[in-house]
Amino acid sequence: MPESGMTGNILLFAGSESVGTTTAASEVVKPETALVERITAGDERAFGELYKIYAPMVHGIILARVPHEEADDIAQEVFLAAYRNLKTLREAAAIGPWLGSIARNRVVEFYRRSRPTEELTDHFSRSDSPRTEANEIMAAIHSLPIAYAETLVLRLVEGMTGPEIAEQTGLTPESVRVNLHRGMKLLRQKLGITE
Amino acid sequence: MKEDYLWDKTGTDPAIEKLENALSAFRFDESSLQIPVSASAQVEGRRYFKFLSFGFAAAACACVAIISWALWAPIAGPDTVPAPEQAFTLPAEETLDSVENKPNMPVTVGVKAPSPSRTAGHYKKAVKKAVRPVTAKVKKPAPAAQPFTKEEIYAYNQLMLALSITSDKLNLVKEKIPGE
Repeated sequence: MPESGMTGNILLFAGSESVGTTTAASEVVKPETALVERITAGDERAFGELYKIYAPMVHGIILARVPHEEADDIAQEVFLAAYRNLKTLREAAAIGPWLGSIARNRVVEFYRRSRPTEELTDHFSRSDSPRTEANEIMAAIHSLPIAYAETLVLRLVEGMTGPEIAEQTGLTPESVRVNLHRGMKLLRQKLGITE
Repeated sequence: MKEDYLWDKTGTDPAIEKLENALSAFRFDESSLQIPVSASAQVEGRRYFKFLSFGFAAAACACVAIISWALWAPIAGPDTVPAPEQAFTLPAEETLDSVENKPNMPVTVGVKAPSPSRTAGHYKKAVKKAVRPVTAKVKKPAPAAQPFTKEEIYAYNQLMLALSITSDKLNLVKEKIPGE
């Protein structure tokens, strides 16, 4: 049974301290070490907090590589794996890059175990889909080099700012800035957007 | 300033805002993500079963050891195993020569009585045959009913104890396995 089919909700861990969905990504939080220590000590609320902080980043990294329909399940697997293997994390401050690497590995596993599929023709795929424009943009992003695609998804889809992306993924701000601008330039070309 | 909007959302950039609006349909929605009711319970459950499996292995090893000891002890007792020097041998005075000189000597174990026409070579072969396999062919007399020794009683008690522990463990596991 896939883990996605199990019942329950991660929000159970979160407790009463709510962090809004829209603000989760924009909060610059630096209590990674304390959070990890609390989780390893058995505090499940701490895992809920960690989830709220890093879920958009994990989701974005996955979404840059797989179709939207698959991203949620893989993100769920990432957090399950993280919970089970948290004791193997050597440096608590590196929790963000660690989650990112788990997400990338899970995507590789996803493609390894998935069967080859045949894409629908334009006639079917474009039939009255409310997400037609979004699908086209996402397809254009997927065609970009993965470093650009990942950064653009985190910025345009998940709504994270450049500094937040740098902080959570462990990349340098300069790298993120370069990826954003070069990726955006390529995306504009692909979509025919003039500056 | 366009560059600032792409980097830290300061200023405006209509093209990027349009892209953001279009792609917001794919944005992470935490309500869409579900995780098992308690991941921790799963992990703890696995640890518990791992501990149980170790317990089972240890109990099984103990049972096997006790049972084999209980079975081996009476067999290996000093009364049942013949000492090597007690193996069948011809009496000292009955050498091959003496056998050759007594053609009508009764040969008991596994050797037919010799006919007068047989030569000394036949006797030699017959005696060799009689000497070699006899130790294996001799049937042990059925052991007479004897009272249990202290060691046997101890082994029996240990076996019963081990079986009761195993039974308890099995019941415990049966209770813990969901759906059983």
